[in-house]
Amino acid sequence: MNLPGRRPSSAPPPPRPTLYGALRRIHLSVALIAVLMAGISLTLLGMTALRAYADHNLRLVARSIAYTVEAPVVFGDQAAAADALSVIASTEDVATVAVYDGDRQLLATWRRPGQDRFPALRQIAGELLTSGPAEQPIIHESQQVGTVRVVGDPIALLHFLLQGTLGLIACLLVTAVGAHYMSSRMLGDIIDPLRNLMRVAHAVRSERAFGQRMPPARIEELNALSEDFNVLLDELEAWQKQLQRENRSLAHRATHDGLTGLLNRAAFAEALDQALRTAAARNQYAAVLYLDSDDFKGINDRHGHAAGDVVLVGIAERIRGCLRESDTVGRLGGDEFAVLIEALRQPEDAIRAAEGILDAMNVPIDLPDGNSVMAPLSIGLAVFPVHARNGAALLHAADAAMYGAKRDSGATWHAAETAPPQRQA
Amino acid sequence: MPAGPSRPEAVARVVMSLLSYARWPEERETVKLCVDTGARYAAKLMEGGTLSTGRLVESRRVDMLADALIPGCDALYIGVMDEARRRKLTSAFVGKPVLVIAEEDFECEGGSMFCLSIRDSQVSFRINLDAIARSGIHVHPGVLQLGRRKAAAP
Repeated sequence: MNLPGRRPSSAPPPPRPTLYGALRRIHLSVALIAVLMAGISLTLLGMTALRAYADHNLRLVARSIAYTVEAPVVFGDQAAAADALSVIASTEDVATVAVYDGDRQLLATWRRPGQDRFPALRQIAGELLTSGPAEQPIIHESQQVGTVRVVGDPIALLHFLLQGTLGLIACLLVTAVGAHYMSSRMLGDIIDPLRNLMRVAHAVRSERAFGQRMPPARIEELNALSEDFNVLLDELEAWQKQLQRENRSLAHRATHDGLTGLLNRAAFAEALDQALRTAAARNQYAAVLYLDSDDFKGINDRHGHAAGDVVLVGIAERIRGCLRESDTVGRLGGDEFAVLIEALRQPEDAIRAAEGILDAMNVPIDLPDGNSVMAPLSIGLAVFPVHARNGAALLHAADAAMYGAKRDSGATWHAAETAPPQRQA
Repeated sequence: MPAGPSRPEAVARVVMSLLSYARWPEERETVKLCVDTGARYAAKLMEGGTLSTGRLVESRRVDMLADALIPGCDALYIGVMDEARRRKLTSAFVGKPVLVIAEEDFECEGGSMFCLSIRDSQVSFRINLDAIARSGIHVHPGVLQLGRRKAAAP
């Protein structure tokens, strides 16, 4: 893959045209081509027709001059012929008129004044736009006595061509503006939904914003696409929520005891460490109660494991009921529970909490089979920073104290031994 | 036209053209042209010829003052217009279908219908509308216009 000496071409790829740009270019091209074709063909058609009329007109002028100069030609009167020529020719689209007598001798000629400007242009235009000069015999008594030769003035055709070209350009401009406006309007209906789709898809992909929805589109197909996309987003959103629920449930299951809903041992230890750090920082007391059922094995044996579970749930509820919302309760395993009481004002407050729990356990727990059973607890009590300065040691101290209570009589509480003053920082 | 036709030729051409534009009340195959002996440039005219209409022109010389009656003339070409000729014209030709062309009559009021004006070898003419109208000969309007133009711009 990484060939030495062969670097990927550094030239950036050409920018991709946008859909809007591509469609607009197509619209514009089609419109311009249409106008151009129509304009050119109309101009050519007009030119052809006009040329035919101009030729016809030229012949008419030649004939009219031939009639008029008949007598002057017959009499060889040059002045009269010239007068007649100028009278007729000056009001017509002719450039030059020449009258020849029967011997092809020039008798009279007339030129339109101002013909000296752009002679080359006039010649080219004359050759292109007219079909040459018109010749008309001068007839006197059915005999040809002379010839009239009339050269047309292409200026009128040039004017037409110029106006046609200007009109064509104007039409092209109007068409370009109109096509741009129309395609902008039409493309809005196509491009906006697509841009929305792009935006929503991007938001969903990069921000997991499943709440985004496509607005309805005006175009049928795009609207269907939007609706389908919205349905897809609905499903994605539902799927995502389900996933999150399951994740939360899994996380809950990882940190909580399934039966009682209390924290499990690992989660409790973590909460304990966190609480002790907070207490140390704020210079507060924190207490841990270690609770153990005195007769759980007997209850299990007498009433069955289902009853044992009910008793465990009952114990958990009562412990929870005796404590503040901010206190933490965990089931460490089997019939062992632990309580973390934070922000104690004085260590004695922990004793009150333990006694409250012991009182709560004096009421029998109802079993599903109608019986009820007493489930006394032994409680060991350890206070930070009196008995230990870290979570594990504190829990251990409370555990030891609990065994003390159990050895004593059960259904009572014991405080931990005061720790020897060690490594007091 | 320095090297153009001589005066008799130019005169003959104009006269023949005038004849070709004229329509007599009664059509005739041959136009009989009588040339007065006083005419100076009638040499070519005496040869006669064919008009562009196809009609023949027969020329003959007459002496206006000597001949008492000049019958059988469709057209008359006379020389200098003097008092005697004027009187003769008035008595013999007025009201008759005879085309009268005067070689020299600047005012063109002596009873002739067309009066030539000869300068070098260029020959033009004036017309006398009154005489033409009274003669009954129809002359093409183009010719009348040509003559009137000359009269207006001497």
